[in-house]
Amino acid sequence: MSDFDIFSNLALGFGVALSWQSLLYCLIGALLGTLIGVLPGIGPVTTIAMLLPITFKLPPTSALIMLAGIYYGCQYGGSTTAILVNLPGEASSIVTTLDGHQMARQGRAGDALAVAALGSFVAGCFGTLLIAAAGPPLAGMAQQFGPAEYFSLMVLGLVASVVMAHGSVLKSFAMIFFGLMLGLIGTDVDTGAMRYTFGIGELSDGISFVALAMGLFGIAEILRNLDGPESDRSVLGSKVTGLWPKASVLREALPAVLRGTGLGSVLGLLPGGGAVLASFAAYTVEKKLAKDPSRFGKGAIEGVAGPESANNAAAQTSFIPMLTLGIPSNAVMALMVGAMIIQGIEPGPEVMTKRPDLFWGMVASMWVGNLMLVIINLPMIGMWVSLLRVPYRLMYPAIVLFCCIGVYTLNNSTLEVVMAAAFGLMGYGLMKFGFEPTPLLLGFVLGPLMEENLRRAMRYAQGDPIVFVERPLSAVLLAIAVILLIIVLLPAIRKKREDVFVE
Amino acid sequence: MTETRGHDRAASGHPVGNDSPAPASPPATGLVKGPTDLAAGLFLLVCAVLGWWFGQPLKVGTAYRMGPGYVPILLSWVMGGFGVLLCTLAFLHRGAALEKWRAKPIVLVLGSLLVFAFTIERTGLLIASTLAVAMAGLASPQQRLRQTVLLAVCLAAFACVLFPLALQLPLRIFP
Amino acid sequence: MKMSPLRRATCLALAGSGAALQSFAARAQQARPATPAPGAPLLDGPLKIVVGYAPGGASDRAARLLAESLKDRLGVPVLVENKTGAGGRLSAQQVKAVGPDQNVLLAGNPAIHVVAPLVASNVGYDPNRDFTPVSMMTRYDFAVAVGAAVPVREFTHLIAWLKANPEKANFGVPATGSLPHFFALMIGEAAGLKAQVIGYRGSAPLATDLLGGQIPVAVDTLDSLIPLHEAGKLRILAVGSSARLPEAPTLPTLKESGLPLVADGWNALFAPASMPAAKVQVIARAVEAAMRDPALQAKFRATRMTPVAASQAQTIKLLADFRSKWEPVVKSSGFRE
Repeated sequence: MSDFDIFSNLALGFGVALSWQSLLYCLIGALLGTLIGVLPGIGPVTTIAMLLPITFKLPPTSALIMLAGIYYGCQYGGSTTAILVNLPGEASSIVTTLDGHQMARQGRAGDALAVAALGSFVAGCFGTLLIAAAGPPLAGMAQQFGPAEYFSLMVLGLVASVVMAHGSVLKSFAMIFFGLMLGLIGTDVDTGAMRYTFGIGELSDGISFVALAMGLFGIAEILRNLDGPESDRSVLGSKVTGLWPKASVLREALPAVLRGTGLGSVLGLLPGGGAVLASFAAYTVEKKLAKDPSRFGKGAIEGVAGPESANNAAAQTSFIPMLTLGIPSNAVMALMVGAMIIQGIEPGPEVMTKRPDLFWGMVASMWVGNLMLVIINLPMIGMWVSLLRVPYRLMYPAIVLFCCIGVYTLNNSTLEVVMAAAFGLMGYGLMKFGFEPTPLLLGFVLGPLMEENLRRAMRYAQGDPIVFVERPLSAVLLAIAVILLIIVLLPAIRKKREDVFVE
Repeated sequence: MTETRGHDRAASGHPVGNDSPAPASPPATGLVKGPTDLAAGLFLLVCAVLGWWFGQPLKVGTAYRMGPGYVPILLSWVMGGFGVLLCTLAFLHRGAALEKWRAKPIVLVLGSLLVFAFTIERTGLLIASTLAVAMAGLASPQQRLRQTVLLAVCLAAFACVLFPLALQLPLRIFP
Repeated sequence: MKMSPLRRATCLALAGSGAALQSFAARAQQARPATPAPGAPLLDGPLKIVVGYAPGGASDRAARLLAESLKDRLGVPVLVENKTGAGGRLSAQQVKAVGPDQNVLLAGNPAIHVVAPLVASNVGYDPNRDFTPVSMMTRYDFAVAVGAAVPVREFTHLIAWLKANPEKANFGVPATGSLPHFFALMIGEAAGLKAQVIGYRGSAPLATDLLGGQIPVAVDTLDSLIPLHEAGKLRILAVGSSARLPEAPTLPTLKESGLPLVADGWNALFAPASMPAAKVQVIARAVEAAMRDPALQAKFRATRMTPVAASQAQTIKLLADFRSKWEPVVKSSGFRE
């Protein structure tokens, strides 16, 4: 099987990737990506869209390497913001805010950032190897996922997000359903009907994730912080304990990194929604496997290591459907497909055989890119941590400004900035009522996917819901969801019974 | 399923050093044991009713061919159920007291976003950023006017270098 | 204001990276051709083309390729701006409101100009009154494909198979209310099938489900399906053009396969009604000349788009013909948003 001779292919790839030109563009992409990822609101989709015209002028391999660098660079940068200021720039960094930001408050931001970077690097290496070794067969496997399986997977994801909550379970459930409702706003994929759009054109594609995340996490958090008299301390609650994590911390994080890498690699393969779940799933697994789950939500290193590795692994493997079949699995991949077409490359199964230099060059450059990102990011940790010392009264207006610009430039829409403000108010109110924003955001992200797949599965099955348990993969996923649900509810019910007895 | 206020705050990651947020009304004695839970439940009920009401024009369809209204109506009922549950619990369980909302930060911070939205297309990035940062900055009790203005100018300038120039985003800097 | 050394260093570092990025951006900008062809510019200011879809998509690519060429012909910068949302309708609403002193065009297509006004409840523009057709850019064909697991190799066999298994008559289309949607309905009706049309969020999820065997038949644009067809992952059974296509000579047309149906789509440039007629003429002539240029045509074909050069009069006629053909179909389908 000469096609799958990994070593000769990788050798070809590295030959391409280590040329001065490729290295340069890889570096530019990685740097840009990190910067973009750090800025709240502006994400890889906007940036790649902006830079597409520039890629006309570049040779195809360099162009794609740069764009790819931006994409996974954003993962690195996004975790930085999530950890430092509790702002998730993208769905994949939501989970990092849970423990990462707590670690920052406790002066352990250096540990969090370092573990995030190193874990991502490990995941990136593994992802690259996976693509090199088994790209096409994996893509084929992913085809086995039909709407029923996707639906069950999303259900599992939602149950997992309840696990993540550390407040009232009932309120977390309520927030998930509220998020599901918000996700429904827009055009119904199946019938084209407008739902809850009140004739506003901008809403016809749904509420923008960025506006919701910025408002709910960024603005609401600022409002809450401004509540109290003590609002001028810097984000740090206590002293910074040194920038490089101790060996013991790294040892603690390693198993989580490996588990996250495995999970993320698998989930990233699923076109259309798998990668989003990677970080949620990893967090849930870590929390459930930990000896002391109560540490989670208060700065458990596994809560950063697992999800960060998972989302980087998913970012790498999400290239597989695009590179091997020409089918983009998310908006960024769709832009990459566009970039390839502009360069005159036909994305599809033939890219591997017709343009092996491009294909393997990209694969090899992913590894190189990950290495560059670690080298770039680790020294910057000192700088980021020092940013935490800035007094809050100077920091939060900057956050507000970046939120405004980030939300506005996404779609050149001032309405979305107004919506971010509205969501900020809503987030503030929700917190006052004792709700948490995280399950809401997760429900929002997964809701539309769930509904689409539920309806499609029912259509194919002629309305027979048995299909969800008839198909083996779907049945397994649902079973895991049910088990997880029981595990989650049991302690809550037991506690309620105790409460009742106490009273 | 309801915790005391202290546990709630630490567990949900609120600022560790922020133990004394906005002054809250004393825990209500008597009928309503958990005012926050009641507020939460009512909020959910209102959302459920709105969802149900504005979902009426949508066709519900059958389980086989779910119409656009199927899931929204379903979810409205579920949320309503949660709302009722929470309200009931509010009468049975001791829960957190209602926290007050501070108006000044809300008006200023949200206002700054609205000002940005209003001015960005009319006056360009530089002015919009300056106004937004200045307004947001005024919301902090520790702010000093001169510092806030200086911050606004610096941040606006930085943003103008970073976004339209360095990142090539389509933003007009000047009116 | 006293700055701590740390903060100063931070500011310097950020400034440094900002400068680096700026120089990169400047380098990239220099790479773009800045000087127009010799001769006075034909327009009084830059021209903007608004595309209602995300960058990288077909309309966007067509607009960008054309913009490069127009820069030289018109002597002014030609930019492409993306305003996504509502299936392209937001971009139409934006361009409709533009004043007579601005140079803005809309990259239009059937979804915006023919279908949406008939099916959307408040579309926000009148396709006849608010826009003036300028010139054509591309045309594209539709194709009917089956997944590799479906046991048919010819279109007539597909019809027979679907008639024998009516519960499998699920036609996947890339978007509800798109031209492939109505085309699928037309095919179903002409073949005597009760076709169920399943809308997806774009060609990618549709292709995924087709490959995975979740759905048996798909109707989509030819350029979306052909790479996978050539790789053997799916089978195109027929194309919707009136004659066999030069880029796919082995694929039979629907007419040959027994259904006398022809369907295609187009991308064209429209000016807002407020633009003075003289300006429209200038632009129309430049666009037509650009589209006739063999070099540009080659670039289009290299990205699997079929370039079309047409004068304004021809464009207007093409549109009118298209409308008269499709409006009855859309109306009779009873589809409404």
